[in-house]
Amino acid sequence: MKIRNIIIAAALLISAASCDDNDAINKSFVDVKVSMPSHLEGKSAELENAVFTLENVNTGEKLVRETSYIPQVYFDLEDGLYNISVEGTITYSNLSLDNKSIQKETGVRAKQENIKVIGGDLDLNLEFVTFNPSQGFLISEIFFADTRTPEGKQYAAGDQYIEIYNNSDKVLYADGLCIAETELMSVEALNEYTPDIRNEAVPVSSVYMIPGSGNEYPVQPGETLLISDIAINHKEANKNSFDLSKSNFEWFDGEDIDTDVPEVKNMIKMVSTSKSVWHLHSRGFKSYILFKFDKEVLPEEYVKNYAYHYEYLFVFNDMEFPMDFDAWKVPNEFIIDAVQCSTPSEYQWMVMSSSLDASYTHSGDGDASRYGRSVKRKVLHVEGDRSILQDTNDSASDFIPTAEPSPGIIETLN
Amino acid sequence: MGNAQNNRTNYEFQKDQIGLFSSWWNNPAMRFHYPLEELTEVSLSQSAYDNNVYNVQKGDKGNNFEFLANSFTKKQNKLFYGGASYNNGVQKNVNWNTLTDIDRLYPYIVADTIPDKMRKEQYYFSGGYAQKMNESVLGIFASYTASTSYDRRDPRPYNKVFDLQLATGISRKLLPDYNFGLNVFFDRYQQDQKLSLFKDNGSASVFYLRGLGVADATYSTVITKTNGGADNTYKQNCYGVNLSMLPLNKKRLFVSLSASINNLELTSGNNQTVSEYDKKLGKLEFAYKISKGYNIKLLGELSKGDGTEFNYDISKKYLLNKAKKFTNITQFLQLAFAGEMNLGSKTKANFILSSDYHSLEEKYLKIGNASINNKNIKNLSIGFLANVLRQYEQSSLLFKLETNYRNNLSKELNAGRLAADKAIEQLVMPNYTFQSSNRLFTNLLIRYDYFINEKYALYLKGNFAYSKFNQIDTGENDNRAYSIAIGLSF
Repeated sequence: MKIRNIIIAAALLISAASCDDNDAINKSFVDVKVSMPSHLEGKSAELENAVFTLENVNTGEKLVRETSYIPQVYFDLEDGLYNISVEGTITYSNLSLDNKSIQKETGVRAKQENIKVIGGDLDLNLEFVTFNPSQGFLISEIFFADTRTPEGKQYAAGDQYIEIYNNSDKVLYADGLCIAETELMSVEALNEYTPDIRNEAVPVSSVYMIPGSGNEYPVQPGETLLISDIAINHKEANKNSFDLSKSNFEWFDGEDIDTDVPEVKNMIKMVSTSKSVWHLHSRGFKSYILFKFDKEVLPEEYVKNYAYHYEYLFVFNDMEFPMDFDAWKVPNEFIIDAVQCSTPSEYQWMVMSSSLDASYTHSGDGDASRYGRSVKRKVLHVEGDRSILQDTNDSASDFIPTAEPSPGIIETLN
Repeated sequence: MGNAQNNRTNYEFQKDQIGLFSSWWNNPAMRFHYPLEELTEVSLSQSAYDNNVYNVQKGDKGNNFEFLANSFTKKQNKLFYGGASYNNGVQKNVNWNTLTDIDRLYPYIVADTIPDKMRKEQYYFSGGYAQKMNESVLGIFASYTASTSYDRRDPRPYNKVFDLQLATGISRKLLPDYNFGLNVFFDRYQQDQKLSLFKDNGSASVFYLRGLGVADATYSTVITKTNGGADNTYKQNCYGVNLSMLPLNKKRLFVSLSASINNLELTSGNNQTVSEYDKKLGKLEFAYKISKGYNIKLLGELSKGDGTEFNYDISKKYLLNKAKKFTNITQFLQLAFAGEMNLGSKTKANFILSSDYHSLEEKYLKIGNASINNKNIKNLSIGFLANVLRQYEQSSLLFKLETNYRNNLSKELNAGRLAADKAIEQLVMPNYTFQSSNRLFTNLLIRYDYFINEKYALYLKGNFAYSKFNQIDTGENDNRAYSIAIGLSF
């Protein structure tokens, strides 16, 4: 046996052990085309700037690129599942009453989620939708997460609330305002979901309306409306809870199953899929909208005329089950404000059009850190003694997640 | 004092010298030439450690009880050997880990972020047989390990391990002074994990780590009592081959050449592959018997691991992409000089002087194979180990002193991109400090054997280890460990 032969054999074995592969990470070339909003056709719409955000859902990596070179942008991406969004500003011309051309500006965004980027090349078509910051009512705070007693037990005895704020400089009337909880959950993307109406309407499971003929419930600029489940001082039962006895309205589900506080007016229950009381989803899987019908609608009319039946394929391991459910819908044009909620660990999809809300906010992460915490809109600035709240229809940026609750109070500083 | 007594005490005395040649003895046929005729030992031991500088995924404190039995019998042309052990222990303040045996599962660790106790029970059985036929020896070996590890506080992992190792080999005298060996080995390992939460309204974040603190965004989640927790399975297959050359009697050259391929797969939930890790290892050793009792050894080892991530669509049903993103390369070089001498008629000593070079390079890659996170550590250590054995009429006393100084030659860490929340400060940085700090290690072992009669001896063994780390921070930086054992040998 020659020593040299042993060394050669060793070198061969070790080099085989250390050989490298070149096909480490597959990538695809993505060609994104973004078109102007269809209702601005013929109005000389021009993009001022745009920011593309491409998020790899699998890795969490975000690629952000600013450009004004639209309609076509190219990306070299690692294969995977992506959420792609683009947001910007466009200018367009409108004719005034005296037929003069007026230059206008509006925010636009486009978003598509769970895009499978595989196979080398992908063409993606997005259409901008316009969005405008609210100048009227908006949802300023939602407390859905429940509280805990000093003993550490969950206190789910009616201390959830939704706060509405007059963000304008005029007196607004709350008569006919509705709040609703979405049917779809942001943590469960439905397979083969049909009919997908999210670009036209929001599927909802519970709807409650403030009564009134139109001028009964004025809300001053910079003032809030507090809507709660049970309008009592919950601190008496649980010192970690809140005093909701000054609420303006309660949502009430009937004397046989719910507690009524006679001093506080009840909302009109339009509809609810719950056979029991309406309890906001305490982990934040469901989302909330504030809207107003374009005409008077009675509960029985809503149940009949806004019914929504949908189907999807439930997939579990290797099994698939066709599912179908009944809910209701709210047309997007009725919606005054929308707040998408979720949990960062389990978020899967948008339950409404990105023109209503481009992202989501959260309280905790579906875990114990959510207890006693709300989602609260940020103060943009203060005019005199009135706070102007931030509303860009982008809840991740507009809201403080896991915030300290302050029912009925708007701070002047964040 | 008879020969049997000499055998018993000699074995403990020679253990380190024999261990220097472990690559040769891993061939079940070469075991026939193991420098031992007959020995059975049964022992009970208790050990504990308290570390201030440590791998956070293994915890800072712990203790272990062990029952151990080993037997080795060579009769004429046959060799039988075997062992059995039972271990029951606990690791305290284990963080960023819900598993056991994490060294073999790295980098794809399922981690929580709550420091807690990990309790473990382990059973081990092994047996080997070698048969000499003319100039050849055939050998087989098998071992089986089963363990359970668990945590009694949320989030509660319950891990079950199955590990089967098989090896077979042949050795043959092809030249007058040399035996040549060839053996193949196979290891099948599986760890099944059920991760659950018992507390109503409680929750815990669980991260599927991908190396250097990076976490899989799809599988990392929050577990609660109602969502069923998480089920994970690790399966590992290892195949290897070893060629070796063993000199007989005279001063001659030892050669051992090994190569192995290791595949680890992590599946979660509905049997979907989350990640795979493929490791290739090559090992080459030369030793030379200078004269009776004096040897010199040179060892070179190179391993390369590639980690592949599996990415799915939102339903986790359709595989979209397999991306080879994690890579680590380790190099190990060792030069050792061992010797043995008599210090009078009843006292003898041996020693090993060694110098080790260890290099670790880890990378997490993006498109174009550019690194976005990386860690490089190069350490050089110098060690000295000595055994002194004193024989008395009815007893013997063994002292072992081992000391080793590890000096860091260079280190580099770039991490943070795509890292799980707090993973850098709580996991990556402490482990980097542990791996790259300069360290002085000292270990003292004392064993006293009392010969009950010609056949049986009772022994007591005590061990104390102390490490001092040289760190930038001013906190406590020493580690301590001890063990005591009582045993019977015959």
